[in-house]
Amino acid sequence: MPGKVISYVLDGLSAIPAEVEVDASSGLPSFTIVGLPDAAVQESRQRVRAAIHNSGYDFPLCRITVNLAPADLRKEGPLFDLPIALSLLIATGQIRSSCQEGLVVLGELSLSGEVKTVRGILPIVRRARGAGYQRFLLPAEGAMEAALVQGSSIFPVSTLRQAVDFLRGDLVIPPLEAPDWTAYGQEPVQVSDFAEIRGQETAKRALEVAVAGNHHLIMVGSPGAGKTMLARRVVTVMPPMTFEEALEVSEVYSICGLLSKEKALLTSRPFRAPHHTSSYAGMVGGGSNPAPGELSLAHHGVLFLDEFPEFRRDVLEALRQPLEEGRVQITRAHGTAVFPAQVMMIAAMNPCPCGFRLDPRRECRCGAGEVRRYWNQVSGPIWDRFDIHLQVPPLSLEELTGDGGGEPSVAIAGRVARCRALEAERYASFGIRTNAQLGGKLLRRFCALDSSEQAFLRQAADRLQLTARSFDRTLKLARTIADLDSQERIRLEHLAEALQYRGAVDWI
Amino acid sequence: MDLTEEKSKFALTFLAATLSIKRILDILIRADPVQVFSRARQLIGELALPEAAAQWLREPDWKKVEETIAWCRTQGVRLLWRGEAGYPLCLEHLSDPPPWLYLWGEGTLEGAALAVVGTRQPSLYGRQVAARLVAELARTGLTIVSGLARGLDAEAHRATLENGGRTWAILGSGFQRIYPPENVGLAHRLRSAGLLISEYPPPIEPAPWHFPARNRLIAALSLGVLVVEAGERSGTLLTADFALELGREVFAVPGPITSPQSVGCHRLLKQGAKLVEKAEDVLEELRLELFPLAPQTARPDLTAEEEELQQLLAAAPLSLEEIVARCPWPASKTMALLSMLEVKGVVRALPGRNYAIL
Repeated sequence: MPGKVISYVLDGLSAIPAEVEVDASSGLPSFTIVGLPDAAVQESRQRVRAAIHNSGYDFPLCRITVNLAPADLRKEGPLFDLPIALSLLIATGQIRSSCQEGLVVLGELSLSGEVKTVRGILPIVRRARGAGYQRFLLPAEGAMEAALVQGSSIFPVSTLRQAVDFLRGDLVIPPLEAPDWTAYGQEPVQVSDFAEIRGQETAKRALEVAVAGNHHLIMVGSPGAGKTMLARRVVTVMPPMTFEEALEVSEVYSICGLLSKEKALLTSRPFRAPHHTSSYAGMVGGGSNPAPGELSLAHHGVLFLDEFPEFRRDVLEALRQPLEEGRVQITRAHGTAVFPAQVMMIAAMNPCPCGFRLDPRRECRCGAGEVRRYWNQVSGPIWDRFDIHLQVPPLSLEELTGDGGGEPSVAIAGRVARCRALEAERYASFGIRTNAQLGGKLLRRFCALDSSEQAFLRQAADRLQLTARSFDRTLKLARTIADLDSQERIRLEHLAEALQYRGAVDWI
Repeated sequence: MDLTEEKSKFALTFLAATLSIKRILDILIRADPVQVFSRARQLIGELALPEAAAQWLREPDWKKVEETIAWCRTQGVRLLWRGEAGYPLCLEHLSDPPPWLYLWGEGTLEGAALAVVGTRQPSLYGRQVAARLVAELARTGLTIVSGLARGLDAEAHRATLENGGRTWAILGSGFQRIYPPENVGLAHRLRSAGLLISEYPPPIEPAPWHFPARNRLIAALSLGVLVVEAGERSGTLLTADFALELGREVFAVPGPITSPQSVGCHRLLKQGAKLVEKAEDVLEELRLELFPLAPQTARPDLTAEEEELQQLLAAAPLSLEEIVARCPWPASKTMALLSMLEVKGVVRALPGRNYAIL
């Protein structure tokens, strides 16, 4: 009688149950796996054979066929090792039990029979729980991830022997205690703080506005002006993630195998700073077996792109749609994978290739043509994604750091949190969460101006030659500034400040 | 072939791309425009014309010429021939007066004009001073002449437009190839308050030797040349040289002795150029004191806080960060006040988020 164990296939962030059936019948001894296995799954034959043997069980000399159903779905990775081994032992009568029914099994095997952790445990367990499965036999190393999912019984095992004994009923494994996540978010572990930055008052204010409305921001300034320093501290003023958000982020990290073993949940918002030589797949995600890119790793956090114009053009263009939709969609011949990508993008660039244009400390040696080429490397539609254009003045290191005395991040975070709450409440029934997402009708509705404000903005548009797009951006920003000020109506000073964040100041 | 006078005149202007104006004048002494093409062979021999020019005289690209004529007609571009009504007499002071000028925009080449020129890479000080002086000068009714180059030329045109003055921009290329590209928008705005002027037919690309030739026109069309900032070896100084040769006044604005952008101005001052601190210095020298200074546009109403900020900026341009550091208000409020002043036309944003009083 064939053995059958339930396991899971991960496709992007969606998980599909896969039945692992093993048939051992008489015939010429062979060991075949069918059901679109990839190379890692094919190799599991050698691991399974050695692990069974080394754990003291019999590896039968007969015709062994492993079927991974559904047969039309590609199977990847080593997570089928443990299910195949258990299924084989059931098929050969070495385990006589129906204990595996309703049990989801994942795990890689070593040759000596140890069970090793695999990627994507968290998203698999979450989806499987959603599909009604409650019991999971998982590698002990990665079991903490699964314990985050409410209402599941997790049985961690570290050897094939333990797994077999568990199924035989010889070993009772107490379900893993889920850590108490109610205290979650009470531990602000911030390594850096805005208080450490002296000066840069305008930059700090702009970042506060940016975070409050979740506006994308671009900083222009000479090397050493403190752009990276500022960007790194942005996560310290963002409101703490809700448990649900933390789970979403942790899932992405789980797929990439980046979660820590002891503390499976990411509690602080991610800050990702990919290098400007990053490839398309590294940034957006991809590969024949789609994996999340930096955009998704920065989900609910900050994606910091230093040396912005140096990024490959196609990589920058590829950011457009995900930024708009808050998710990455990777389409391959055999299907589409979707990863979340709700990020706040912070870009930084020098004012010119050498970096010292208008810097009093050093003379710029760039020609006008070079400077224009440098700026033109970023297309107009990408520029339009940035609501805030910020110029970071050159300051010496002593001016920048010194003995601090700046406002601590906690104070700023408080204001930001109040503002975000206001926005969430206002837009609850409109399918958006932040001011940055305002557009079209909603923009006109929530950024309505009184007549004197209207007159001022029209005058400003005329004198400062605002384009239609920067006009809308100004309105959105004014909304955020008014929210920070706890004002229902947008007032003159809000508009005036918003105008300071417009772009289009020529550097040539 | 039916060769009208208009067509042969337009065709002739294309010679400017390959021949110097001096040599074109040599041709025009020997033949009038309609004859030039029928006597091409003889002229080429007599004057030993270079191959490119000879080629054009033998076989002009009539299709290109006709397209140019059509484009000029639809765009309202005028071709002004030397000797026609409206050709400014002051150009005759040149040893090589342009035989023709393409004009695009409003008005004629008449009236008192002052050239305002300067480096393509000005300091913040230079930008501020240029804007301030031009604002006053433009309001007296003087036409501001410049070359539409990057930096101070563009600044001079812009300040004139903002103050409702009249301005001429002399180009080193044809109107379909306005250079530099970032000033194309400025050029088109300028057409409604003045003229774009070029010796080159619309399709001609800019070339390095066009710009010294352009500079001689800037000097010739003006009563004087005001140099705001000029580096050690600047094309701006060439314009000043032309002005001296033509007997025009040369004015220069002093700067810090440490500033590389003021080296050229200081040399001019040592050689006897008139030092300029305010518009009256120019008007006095040009005997234009009697030109009524148009009433200052009414100063906008400022709040006490805006007044305070204006005082702070009165001395020199400051960066946003410096302004915030020196003001008693939080950054958000200071930025809002700055925008108010910007919109009221009191303060201007300079590159790199620096601010100056207009």
